[in-house]
This record gives sequence, C-alpha cells and structure tokens, in this order.
Amino acid sequence: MNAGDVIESYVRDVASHLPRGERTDVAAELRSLLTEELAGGDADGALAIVRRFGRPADVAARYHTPVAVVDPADTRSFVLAAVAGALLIPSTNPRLPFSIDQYTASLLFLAWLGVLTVVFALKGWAARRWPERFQWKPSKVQDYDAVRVVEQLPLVAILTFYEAVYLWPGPIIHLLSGGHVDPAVLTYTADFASLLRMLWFALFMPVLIALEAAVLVPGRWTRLTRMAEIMLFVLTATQLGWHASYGDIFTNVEADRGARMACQILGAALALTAAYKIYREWGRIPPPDSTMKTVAA
Amino acid sequence: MKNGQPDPADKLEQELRRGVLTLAVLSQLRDAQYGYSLRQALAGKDMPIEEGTLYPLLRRMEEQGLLKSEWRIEDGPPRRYYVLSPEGRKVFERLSTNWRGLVGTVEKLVTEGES
Repeated sequence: MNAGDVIESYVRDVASHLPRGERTDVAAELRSLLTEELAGGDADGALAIVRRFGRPADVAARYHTPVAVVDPADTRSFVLAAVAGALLIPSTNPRLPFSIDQYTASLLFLAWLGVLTVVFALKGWAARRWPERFQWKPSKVQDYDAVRVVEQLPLVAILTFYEAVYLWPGPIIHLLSGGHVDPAVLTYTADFASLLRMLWFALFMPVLIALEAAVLVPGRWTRLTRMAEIMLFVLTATQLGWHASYGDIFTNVEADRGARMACQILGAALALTAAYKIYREWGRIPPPDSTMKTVAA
Repeated sequence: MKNGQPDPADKLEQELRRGVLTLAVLSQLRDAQYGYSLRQALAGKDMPIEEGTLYPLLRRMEEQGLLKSEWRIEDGPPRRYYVLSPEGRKVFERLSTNWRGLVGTVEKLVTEGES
C-alpha cells in the first residue's frame, strides 16, 4: 500500500460517517489537505499523519455533529430502564408455575430494548425540536425517611394477614370464603410442614412486621432500619421463590398450584421492592441537615 | 500522562486554546487562505493548531456563515480557499472587543492570584 492509498482509504472512512450531501466536498478537501501535509512522504509518513488527525468517526464528528439516537445525557436513564425491564421479564426456571422459555425471554428483552430505543430517540428529537417544552420543572421534594401512618398501618395489616394465612391456611381461607372452601383441601404436605421448609418464612415475616410497626414510634427510618428492611425483604422473597419452585406445598394438586403461584407473585413483588429500595439506597442523596453535618465533620 | 490518564493541566491548556481558536482563525482570514497555508501561518505566529482540529473548524465556521469558500487551481492541486464573509467581519470585530476586555480582566485576576 503506498502513501496515496493510505490517504484515500482514510478519506473514504471519514466521508462514510458524514451525511451524503457533504461527502464529496469534504473528501476532496481532506484529500487535498492530507496530500499537502504529506509533502511527498511515504506510506509510513501518511499513516503517521492520518493517525495524528484522529479516528475517522471522531474526525467526521468534528465536521458534522452526529445525531445521537439516545442523547448522552439520557444514557443513564436508558440503562436503568433497560435493567428494570429485564427484572420484570418472567423467570425461565421451568419449576415455577409462571415461567417462559429462554428464547421468549431473550425476545422479550430485545423487544424491550427496541421499544426503549424508539421512545428515547423520539424524546431526544422532541427535546431538540421544542426545547421550551422540555424545560426543567420543580417536582415535590419527597422525604423518603418519613414514616406515613396511612401507608404503614395497611402494610403492617397486610403482612400480618400473609403470616396468618401462611400459618393457618385452611381455617382462614375457609372463613374468608364463607365456608365454600373445605379446610382439609388446604393441608400442607408433611415435607413442607417440616422445620426445614416452612419455618423460615414464618420466622422472617414476624420480624419484618415488627420492624414495620416499630418505625411508627419514632416516625422516621434510619440507616439501620432501612438496611434491616431491605435484608428482610430479600430473605422473605428468597423463601417464597424457593416455595414456588421446590416440591409440593399442599396435598391437593389444585390448591398446591394456586399456592405456588401466589408464592411466586408475592415473592417477585417483594424482590422487585427490595431491588428498588437497594437502588434508592445506593443513589441516596442525604437531606440538607445531614449534608451539613457531614461537611462539618 | 499520569498512570495512563491525561494530565489535567494538559487538558485545561487545550480547552483554553480551543476557546480562542475561532478568534485566531478569524484574525487570519481577511485575505483568502486554504487550510494548510492557514495552519502554517498560525504555527509561524506561535499558535500551532492540530490539523484534525483546524480543518473541520473551517467547515463549521463556513456553515455558520462566518466564512466563504471556493475551490481554486493556482500553482498546484485544487485547493479550497476560505475568507471572511461580511457576517464574519462583524463577528470578528465584536469578538476582538470582547477579547481585549477579557484579557484585561483576566490579567488583573491572575496578577492578584500570583501576588
């Protein structure tokens, strides 16, 4: 390859990254300038010059600002949305009542990425087209550490209900169904009722209930209580996931399938909540008072 | 380079020079010049600019209406010559005024900082 070939190859690479209308003209000028810079040098000299000039894509970007499909400023949101979507895709574990095959899961994830790309591209285009409509607006500043009684009491009640149903499924469902469900149908298998399987969720849940109730007293979450809550959410979600995928729960086949479905749905809800809380904790911005204390320290 | 990372001082120096690049180029284009000759002229006046920065800059300034260009064949291969447009002349005058004010202000600040 001689010096002319090196320059021609480089010019073509740069031009290929430019809009069609600009290619011929920029290529002609770049060819002329690089030849002049080379001043009769050889192929090695030409290579040194074009390498100093920069990567063709970078050089093209200096000639013409490329349109980004996803604006660099939106990349973080894009990645977060992609990960959140991936977490919502049903499991591929065939032992679970709700599961999909690997191919469908991959297809769903690719489709989600496609939807996100289109949505973010449209958002970026609209923001460039109508910048005044995309100006920053102040939003309500939420105090995530404040315990809201109207939310906390129902949560404690719901968790207590789950624990009660878990411990005495037959009598409670019989009562709630107005006597339509025979309590005998909801009899745990001997394997499930053994200490190794049933015990752990029954133990973790009261601790979680106690924690959710205890924070009502000070009215605020602390770092310790937040961490304890996340840990308990993860532990209970793991237990429910295990129940949903491993062995029979009830002796009755239909009741067993229903229970495993309930375990999977509730476990997934707890796991997603835990993931959200971990994310919030990871990117936590301390309130103004504590920031000042940190700076002062 | 420190531990494979570019020296922050080098980067800041580059940014400082990049800020005045447009003014430097405008100052040299009352008479038409092509990219290579302009780069040589600036380098000769202690204002070396990388070719990969200067040549695309000329095109962008033309798109902004600050420069006019035309292909000419004189004593050599065809070359694209750039010269200030009427709009470019006005912008150059305005930037020159701003530059002189800025130099005075920054000079005072730097002197204060050094003392």
